[in-house]
Amino acid sequence: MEPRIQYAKTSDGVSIAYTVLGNGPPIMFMGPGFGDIHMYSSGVIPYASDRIVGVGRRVIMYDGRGTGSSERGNTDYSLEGRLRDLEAIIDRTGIDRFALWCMGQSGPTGIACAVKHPDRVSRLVLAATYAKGADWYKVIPALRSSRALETMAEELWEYHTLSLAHAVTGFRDSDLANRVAAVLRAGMSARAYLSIRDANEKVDVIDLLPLVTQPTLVLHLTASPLSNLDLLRVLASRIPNARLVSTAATAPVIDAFLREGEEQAANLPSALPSGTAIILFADIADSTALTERVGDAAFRAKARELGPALRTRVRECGGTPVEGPTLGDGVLAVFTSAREAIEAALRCGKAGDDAGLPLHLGLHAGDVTREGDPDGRDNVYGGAVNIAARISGLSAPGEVLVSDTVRSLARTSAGVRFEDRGEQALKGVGEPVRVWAVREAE
Amino acid sequence: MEPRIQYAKTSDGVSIACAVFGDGPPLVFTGIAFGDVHVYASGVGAFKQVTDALVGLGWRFIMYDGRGMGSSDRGNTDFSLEARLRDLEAVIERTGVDRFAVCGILQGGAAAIAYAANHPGRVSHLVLAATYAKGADWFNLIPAARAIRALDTMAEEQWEYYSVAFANAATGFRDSDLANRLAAVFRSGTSASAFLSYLAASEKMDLTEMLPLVSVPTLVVNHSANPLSNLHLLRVLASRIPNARLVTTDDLVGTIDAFLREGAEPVPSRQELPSGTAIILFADIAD
Repeated sequence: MEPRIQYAKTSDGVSIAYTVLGNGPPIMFMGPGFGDIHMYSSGVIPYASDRIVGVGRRVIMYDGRGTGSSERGNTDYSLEGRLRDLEAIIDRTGIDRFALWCMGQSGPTGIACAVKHPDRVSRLVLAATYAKGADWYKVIPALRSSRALETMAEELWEYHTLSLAHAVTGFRDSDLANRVAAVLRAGMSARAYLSIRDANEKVDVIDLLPLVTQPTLVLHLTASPLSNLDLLRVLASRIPNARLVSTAATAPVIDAFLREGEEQAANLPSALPSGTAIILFADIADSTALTERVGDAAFRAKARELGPALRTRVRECGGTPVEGPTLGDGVLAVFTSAREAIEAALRCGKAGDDAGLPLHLGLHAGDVTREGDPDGRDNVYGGAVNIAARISGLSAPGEVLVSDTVRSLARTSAGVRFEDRGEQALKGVGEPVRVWAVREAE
Repeated sequence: MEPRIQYAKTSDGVSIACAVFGDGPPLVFTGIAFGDVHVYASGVGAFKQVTDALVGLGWRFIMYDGRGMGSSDRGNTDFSLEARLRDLEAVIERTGVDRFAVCGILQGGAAAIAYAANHPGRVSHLVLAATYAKGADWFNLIPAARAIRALDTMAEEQWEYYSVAFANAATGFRDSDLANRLAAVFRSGTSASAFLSYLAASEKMDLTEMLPLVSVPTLVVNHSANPLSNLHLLRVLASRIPNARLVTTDDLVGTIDAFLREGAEPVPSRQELPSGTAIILFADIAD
């Protein structure tokens, strides 16, 4: 399939070509480099990413700076420069949470990204790569020899790419290597190649390895002349949550690894969205006083009954209840529609009143991050969740308060009226938030 | 045909494996890297085809493994021009040929040129294919040669990888399957250290000054299919050897055969001088 190329701008002003293939949970694929879209769309070598798309995943790939359809002028190929490319794609595509899969020379960039963005990178796959560039160029004969031939690269670029393509494909198919060489030449200049190689060799992310918190799959690609088990062992032994697998069949192993994470997250009947959401926070009003009045056991029984009833109301209105353990007697739910969220809040309020357990109810909208908690249950995090909780704390028992953001979203659609409660300072929130009480429409 | 290996002893005491194929006017092929008999016997590459074709056309093909190569004495790795000439001379003596064509290809060119320049009476024709006068030029101009020199430091440690890289480059990155088989032949033909010494010695050789001294009919062949053949370097040979011509061709067999047939006497119809008892007439112009 011919990829549709889009562009993202890096923080240092470089236009980076990227493409999104397939649908499903997102995985950022940083391939062998020298322009992944360029190499992929040439069709000369099979990309395992196609098989990942085939099992229902969304693969995002890009041409790094200086290669393929990306801007060729900028020559900062340092780890920082390359991280900027990756971050530009992450920002531009708006994927909040994704798996990251890197091969070969992309590995160190991927490792740095996982450490820098633990809230966004869910899982890490490191295939045929390394932590320290100098090691890679020493122990892999194909790279060592190509390195030795570099004095010829600019003068004899065609010869050099032929030699390089043969070496990295293991001298097994001259036809293939000739085609790969032609694609390499079209994808970058000799000078860019030399600069990238030089930057590769200088990079060293050994110190970052203990800081990788994501579940990590380290893959030794037994069929690849660029895969070295010793170098991969270094990665697997120093990344806390890593495992090492030797395989010739990349895609099924990666899919199984990603599926593991998804199954843990899928304990919920319906998946929680990441991204912008309307957040409902409901808590039983004055529960301490109530406990004293009816006694612990009776209160627990009533609260236990109310929880499922509230979650049912949430689902009826198209929302997703969160079943994380952090809420005490409260209910946290996310919605993709402000109107539905208000409707659900009103119904929850009524259910609470009916049960004799009036609720504080607050709504706010903002970005949330979905993440499995240690027990494998899904939870949502983010500043917006905190604000929703604080707003709920301001509400009178049985009353629904919404932030100004939610009111703006639902003003014309909710079929209710909003009563201004003014700017409120919220604990732990920098700026005061204007809140509104939801009233029945007249 | 499976070569029957005989041994010749050089003047410096090295045993040289040689083989003779066919009958007819002799063509002596100067030894190159990895051992010609060794490469021929492996059947890998074009060498066996070319040899068999020339033998089929009525030529007696004499080849040998140079010192340090193939079935020859591997212990001596003196690859100087003098040593290579000793190998050649030992084989000529052992096979008892008197007058013959000499063919030098690639690194075999130097010994062929030097021998022809020094023995014009014995060399009927000189064929120089894909070779050069000055080793340093060849190692500078031919990308594959330049590349292989750049990999020197890997040769001993990564002999297999090195041989594969070399075989692929030397055959023009055209057929990795062939190159892989050739690489195996290279590795069994010599050691990494011997090959490095061989290359270093080859790079130092310079026969430029000897070229005007070659008086025999000479054919310089630019083998167009061979990535190790460089027209510019071959022009230097053809322009400085007095009785030389230059041909660019992909047909080594046909070109060499036609050239060897040229000359005073048509080759196959050998109405030669009788051996045995004869009455000798000597005639000279009187003063």
